[in-house]
Amino acid sequence: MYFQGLAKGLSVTLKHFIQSYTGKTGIEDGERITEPSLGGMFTVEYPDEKLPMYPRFRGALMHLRDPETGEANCTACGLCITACPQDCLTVEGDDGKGKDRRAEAFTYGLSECIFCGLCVEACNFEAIEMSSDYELSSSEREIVWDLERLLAQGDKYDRRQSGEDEEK
Amino acid sequence: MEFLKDLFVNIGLWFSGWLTGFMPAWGVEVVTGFLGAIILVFIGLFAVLILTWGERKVIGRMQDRIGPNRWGPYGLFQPIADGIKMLTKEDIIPTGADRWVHLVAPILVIIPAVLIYAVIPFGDGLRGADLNIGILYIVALSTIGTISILMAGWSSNNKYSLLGAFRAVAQLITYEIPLVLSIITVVLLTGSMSMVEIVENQTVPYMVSMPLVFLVFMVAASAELYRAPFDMIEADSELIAGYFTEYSGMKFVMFFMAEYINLLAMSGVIVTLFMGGWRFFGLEEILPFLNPFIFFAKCAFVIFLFWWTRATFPRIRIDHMLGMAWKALVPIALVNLLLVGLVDKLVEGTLLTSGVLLIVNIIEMVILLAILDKVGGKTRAKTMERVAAQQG
Repeated sequence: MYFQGLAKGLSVTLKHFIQSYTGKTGIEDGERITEPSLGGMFTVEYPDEKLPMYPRFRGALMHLRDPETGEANCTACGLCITACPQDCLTVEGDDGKGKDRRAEAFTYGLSECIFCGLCVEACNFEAIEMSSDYELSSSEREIVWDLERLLAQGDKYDRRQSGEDEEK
Repeated sequence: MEFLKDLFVNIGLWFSGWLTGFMPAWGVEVVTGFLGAIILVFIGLFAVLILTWGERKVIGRMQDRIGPNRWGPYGLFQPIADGIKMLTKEDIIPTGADRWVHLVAPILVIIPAVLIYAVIPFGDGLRGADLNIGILYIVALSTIGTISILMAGWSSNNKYSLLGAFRAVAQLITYEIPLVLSIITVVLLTGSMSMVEIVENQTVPYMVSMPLVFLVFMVAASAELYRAPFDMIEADSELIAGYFTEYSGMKFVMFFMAEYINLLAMSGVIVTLFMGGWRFFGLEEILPFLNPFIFFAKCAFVIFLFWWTRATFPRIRIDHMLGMAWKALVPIALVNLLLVGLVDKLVEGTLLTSGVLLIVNIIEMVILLAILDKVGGKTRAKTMERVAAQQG
């Protein structure tokens, strides 16, 4: 029959209009529900709301601390520097030998980084990780983070410290 | 209490009474007429603010989005922000443009849009003027807007603008006919072209007694307003922006405003002709000050219908659109006119007439669907045959 298709289309839009008020999708108890069958609005109001990042998400690099001493885990072995395809890392160690050696300075050229994660795979001392931070815009042309900044990043984004990621 | 009962009319009476105290009669007429005109224009301008916000919000909701929500409660100040942004834009006149026609077109487009408000009755006694040819006046005005669209398209020195303007004229000429034919049906039943008398004679809204006429009018009206799915003149995917491609800044806003002023005006006409205007089951007699609110609530309903269809239907191809008017809407409207005239002559009594009209309309719809099924099925079979022959 004619006009059936028109009526069907109208009913779909009206259903979505009503569901945008009655639907379940949205934020509930701090968690975003995205279940299409529940209906409702799917917009994430970005600056006010943020989607949780997955554990494997590769954002900016961060340095981790030893949970007991509170010092950086990095031993300045240089494995990450050889692994980096972009040559965006530099490291300087102190005079210590073997595992006692500690990094004195570390630079991370964020503007050159391609977030491949090879440096993290190369690291033998659980010293660096990719954080879930993706809001990295800056008004400077070259963004270079030093060790202090990287440790601060670690304090903010290390999942082991906040106990969110138990199985790791 | 008596003053409050018919608040808006009484304010007007009190004001003109106060003026008579120190003014000659012609002075009172001039001042009240001038103030009334300003109020009517501002209804249109205020409608633009509310309607742009509402359209984005409603269509957003229908597409599972939020719509504007950043400035003000529920994003209500968004149109103001848009207006400020538009005011600061550069005003460009393209090379080779017909300068004066280009400048005058946006001003001319808004004048007929605003003038329609003069005859729309917002309530019992709340109207600009009670012309005895009110509806004819509206039909005449709604065509003038097209001249300014043609001016805009012609003067822009841009082929897309010109194409859009040509389409506008073709569309208007085509859809004016079913529109006027369904208006004639209403006028035939009422026996008057005055908007006020049309409302007063509608005990049963014509939308209920003549659903087919209402449908034809709605389709023709949305084509007349150049709204989706009939937005051929500004079909973004084909014509960039149609006739106002070359307009920027405040001149663009004028076209934009005219569109929305026309939208409210046309929904006001629909409410007056088919939904009983300010009347609502006798409520208008008990609380007359509610009249304009009833009127605007009905307008909001009609406008929601326009938004709803815009959010649902894709644009119709131009030959299909013109074909639909000539092959479907005009015959339906003509048959309707004939049948309504017959019923009006043969049946006595308002309620009985409405009932008979409803039955006639429903029978007509069933026959129409049967014919469409047969004709459409034949066309489809032919097309499928051709496609099969081409492939095989």
